[in-house]
Amino acid sequence: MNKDKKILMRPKYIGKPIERFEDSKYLSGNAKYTSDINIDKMLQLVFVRSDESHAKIKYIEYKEALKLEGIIDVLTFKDFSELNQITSPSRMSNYFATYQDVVAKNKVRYVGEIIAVIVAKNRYVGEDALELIEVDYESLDPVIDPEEAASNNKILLHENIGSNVILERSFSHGTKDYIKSKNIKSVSGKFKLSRKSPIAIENRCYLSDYDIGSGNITLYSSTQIPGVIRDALSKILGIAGNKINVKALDVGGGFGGKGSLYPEEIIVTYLSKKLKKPIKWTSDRLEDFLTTSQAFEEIIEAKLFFDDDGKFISLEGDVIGNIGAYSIFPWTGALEPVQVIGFLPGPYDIKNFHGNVKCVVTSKSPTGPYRGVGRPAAVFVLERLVDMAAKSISMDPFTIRMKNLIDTKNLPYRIGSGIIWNDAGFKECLEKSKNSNFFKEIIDIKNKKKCNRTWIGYGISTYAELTGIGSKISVAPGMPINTGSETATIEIDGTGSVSGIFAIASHGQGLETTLAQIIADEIGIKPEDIKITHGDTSKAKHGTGTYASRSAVIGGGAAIKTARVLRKKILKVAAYLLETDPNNIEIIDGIISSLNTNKSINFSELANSVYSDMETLPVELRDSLYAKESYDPIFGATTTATHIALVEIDKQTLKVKVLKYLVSEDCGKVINPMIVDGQVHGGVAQGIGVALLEKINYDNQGQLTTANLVDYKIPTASEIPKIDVVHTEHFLPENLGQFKGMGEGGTIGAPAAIANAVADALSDYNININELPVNQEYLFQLLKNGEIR
Amino acid sequence: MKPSKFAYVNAKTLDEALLSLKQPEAKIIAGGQSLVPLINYRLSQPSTLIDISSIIELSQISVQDHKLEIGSLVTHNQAITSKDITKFLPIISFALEHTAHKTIRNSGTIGGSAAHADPSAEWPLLIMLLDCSINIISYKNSRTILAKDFFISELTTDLKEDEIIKSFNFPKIKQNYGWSFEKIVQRSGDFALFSAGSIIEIDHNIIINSKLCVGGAGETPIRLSNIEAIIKGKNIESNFDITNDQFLSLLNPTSDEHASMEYRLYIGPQVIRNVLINSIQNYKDNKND
Ligand SMILES: Cc1cc2nc3c(=O)[nH]c(=O)nc-3n(C[C@H](O)[C@H](O)[C@H](O)COP(=O)(O)OP(=O)(O)OC[C@H]3O[C@@H](n4cnc5c(N)ncnc54)[C@H](O)[C@@H]3O)c2cc1C
Repeated sequence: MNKDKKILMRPKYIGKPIERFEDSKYLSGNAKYTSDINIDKMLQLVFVRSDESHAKIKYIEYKEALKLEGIIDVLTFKDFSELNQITSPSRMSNYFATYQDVVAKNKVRYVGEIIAVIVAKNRYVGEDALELIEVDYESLDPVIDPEEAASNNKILLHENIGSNVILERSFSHGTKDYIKSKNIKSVSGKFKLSRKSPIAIENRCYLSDYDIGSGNITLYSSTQIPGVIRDALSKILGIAGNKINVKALDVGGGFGGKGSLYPEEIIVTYLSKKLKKPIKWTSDRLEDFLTTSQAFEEIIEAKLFFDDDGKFISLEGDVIGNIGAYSIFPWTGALEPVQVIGFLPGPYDIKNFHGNVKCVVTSKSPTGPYRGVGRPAAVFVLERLVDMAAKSISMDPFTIRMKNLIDTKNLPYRIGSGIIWNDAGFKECLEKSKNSNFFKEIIDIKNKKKCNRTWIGYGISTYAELTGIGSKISVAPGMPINTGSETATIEIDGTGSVSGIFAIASHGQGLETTLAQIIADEIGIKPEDIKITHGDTSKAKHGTGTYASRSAVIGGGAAIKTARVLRKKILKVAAYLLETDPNNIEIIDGIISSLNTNKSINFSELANSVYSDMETLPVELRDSLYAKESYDPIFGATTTATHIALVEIDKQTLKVKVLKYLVSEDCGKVINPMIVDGQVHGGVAQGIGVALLEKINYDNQGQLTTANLVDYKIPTASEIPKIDVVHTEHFLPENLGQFKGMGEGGTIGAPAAIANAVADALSDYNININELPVNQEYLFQLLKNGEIR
Repeated sequence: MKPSKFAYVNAKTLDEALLSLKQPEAKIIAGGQSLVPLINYRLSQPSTLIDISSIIELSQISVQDHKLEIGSLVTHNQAITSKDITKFLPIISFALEHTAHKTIRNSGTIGGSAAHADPSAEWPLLIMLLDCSINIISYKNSRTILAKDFFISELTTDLKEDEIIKSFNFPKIKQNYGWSFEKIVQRSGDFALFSAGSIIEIDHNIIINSKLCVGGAGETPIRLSNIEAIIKGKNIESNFDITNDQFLSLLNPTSDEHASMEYRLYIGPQVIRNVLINSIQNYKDNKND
């Protein structure tokens, strides 16, 4: 029989650079964002926000505002007294949670904190009212400098904690005996990564629609985590989860800034229920700068010990993280600083590690997750130290890394902070980058371009990250929410068309396309025929969303698992219809064929026989064409990359320009190379912003002085060079699909590579690039201090 | 960031605009690129916005015997692509290519830029540099004012509330000359951290006249009359022997989010020296053509 079997080749969609299905709506302006939705009788909120960074509220005068036509009400904390405070618990010992009233009660702790809520017919009159409201403060000393705040308990931001340090943690692995060794060398530095804003194009926006008839609430939210928000709202508002539907429509970028719970989200939802009206709030750019969770702001003192041959012996690190006024939900303010220390040892074989981290509250906007969480800072520090070490013993930057990178044969490897690296091509990525034509070209350019007008240099960074994290590991240290699994539902409707439903919330990552590619390969249909639904808690009952490079890994794994179950169901029915054995059936682009006859059916016929036509199938075969499975990879998948940047510094203006860029990366199986490259490009672009331009600045009174896109500079297309990407596919056999997360890597590697390139360009001078961004002003200050020239 | 309530007048003629402008707190809007952010932040709360963008007579560029007259509604892009401007005063087109981004250059106008009077902006620098005079009109009368009397301080000009800028007279330069413009930015399309433009008129290798103007160096664009005097009469091949103090003496920059005063004082002399050298080079290149 076998020799008569037709050989049918199922096309593979995984690995193909399929154009993103969602692009046409984005590019033609037809995407639908929360702010695009307007509902009859909808009211808008305008928030009265604190202009002081640390103050007691004496009184709020709003009588005049109430008189304006179009103003429904002005509400203060009293009107929200039945709501629970926002607090973010953690299992970490020595952690102190902060408690935030959704509307400030007695005291404000950062500029931008909500003091009162104006309910208005529209935003215009709401802002008219804002001008009439007076808030009288009793100013308290601001808490600005994290080092001072950590050591000084006189000015407390949260009196109940008794300290400004909400968490201190130490890690120790190995010994400190090396200090006594004669041959030991070391390099060290005090590094700073400036505070930054995630800056999504779409500002945050929430619209809550309360249905009087059913009592159900639909919250349209520009969020990355609809599932988490639904669960949190249910608790805070005391409403059953099935009465709240959180729906993320098209979301115009997140980068972590839309990955936490915000007071505005709670207020909008609460008021729509209380006032029985649709309530909307759209952030403007000023509010976005003031209130969307910010990133970084760490001071890191670190020391790398090594021997004469450049073999690393030990790493010591001390991190102070300035987390801002409150510990953000659900991640806690410990998320970023703890990951900085956690990831500090990087992909290197370092036997001894001693680290300490303090998370300090200050009267600035809360920090939260940002693309790369912790790793951009950790990699910046370690990779600078590695280059400094190499320079001190006249070793080239590749050799020292090759010598110390963990060898594949030693994987899995547990680094000093406890993170376990599994299958990943650390050395392979580095080698590939060095052997690339790109590298030859940049050496060529470096040699040729030596001239009087510019300094030129290249820099490398190598890193590892943990992605697609399963239930054994907490995405945020100590966080009591399991983010390790995702569920996929795949169903075939009466017309034979296939839908995949996920709890992830794609906001530009192309998951609508990649998940379709995965399902297409498993079932045997065309990706463009599959509808992917996501970001809707009424459709997917449990799941947390899109962040932490998890959606393709865990969502993709769930898609495979579910598709396999559904395929079995399809084959069972088809085998009956085609009068053959399920093993003798192939499904190609939606045509189900028998391999030993010329009989075939399509999905519409299949669905018809299952759902509609009551004759063809016996009742027991009319099981609905539906499958739902959860997937949990248990651990995480290690992604790695080497970045190389070539930079040029104008000797007069001191402006740094990135000329060329290479990313040599291993994200396991590449689902869609075009999307992967796009994610890498976007990530690197953000990393260039971190390295050269972006800086959130607060003055010593806690006033934000960079609250618009003129003063806060994000890179434009002109600042981004051509970015080359080389792939390595190292598989993790246990993971379904062998995917690894890669959405954050660009931002992780770029700051370090660029810092190293700048240091290389200035290698003739006795300088240390230990702060980012390296803008003209920064280099000028080095120059002024006589360190350059 | 929503403006306070205002009335809107789409003026079809200059007279209509001038009449409307007599109302208290009325304000002209041209390209809106500077005004709209201000009204959105409610830093400006006009009672009436008078849109002049349909007044065709304000968007003309005309070449006359001794001057180029540029209407106040001429956009940055219109100036960049104008054959007359490129022919007679190529420095204008060149400098404006460094102004903001294309979409902004499509809307932003010379009149709006001059009236806004940002000391880092290109048009104000060009207007000061090129000894431009400005034709201003109100409902009652009209006047012409020299650039140096027009710019008073940062975001402040001599313009009265009921006045509209009609056009700008740019004198043609009769002698052979070389020109140069340089702008230092942190990021493409930004306002200048420091900028400089120069026109050097040369006869038989002798500098007979020069114009030198800097932006981002004080409250208004600043003409460096001291340096203009030092180089006058010098041979273009000579070493001008300008000391750093002489370069600095008229500069009065401040610190802001973008750069410190010290950085501006550091970069200033280098940029000024660059435009001097490049102007002479430009003169030589043109002669050889
Ligand atoms: C992102 C961005 C970047 C920019 N970068 C630069 C840059 O690098 N360099 C630079 O030079 N500029 C820059 N600009 C400013 C831009 O050039 C503006 O277009 C210009 O400053 C104002 O011109 P406008 O026609 O838009 O004026 P408007 O915004 O319409 O008006 C500005 C002011 O001028 C008044 N006004 C306008 N026309 C007249 C008139 N005919 N008579 C009397 N008063 C009048 C208005 O009442 C208002 O007070 C930038 C702007 C933006 C938004």
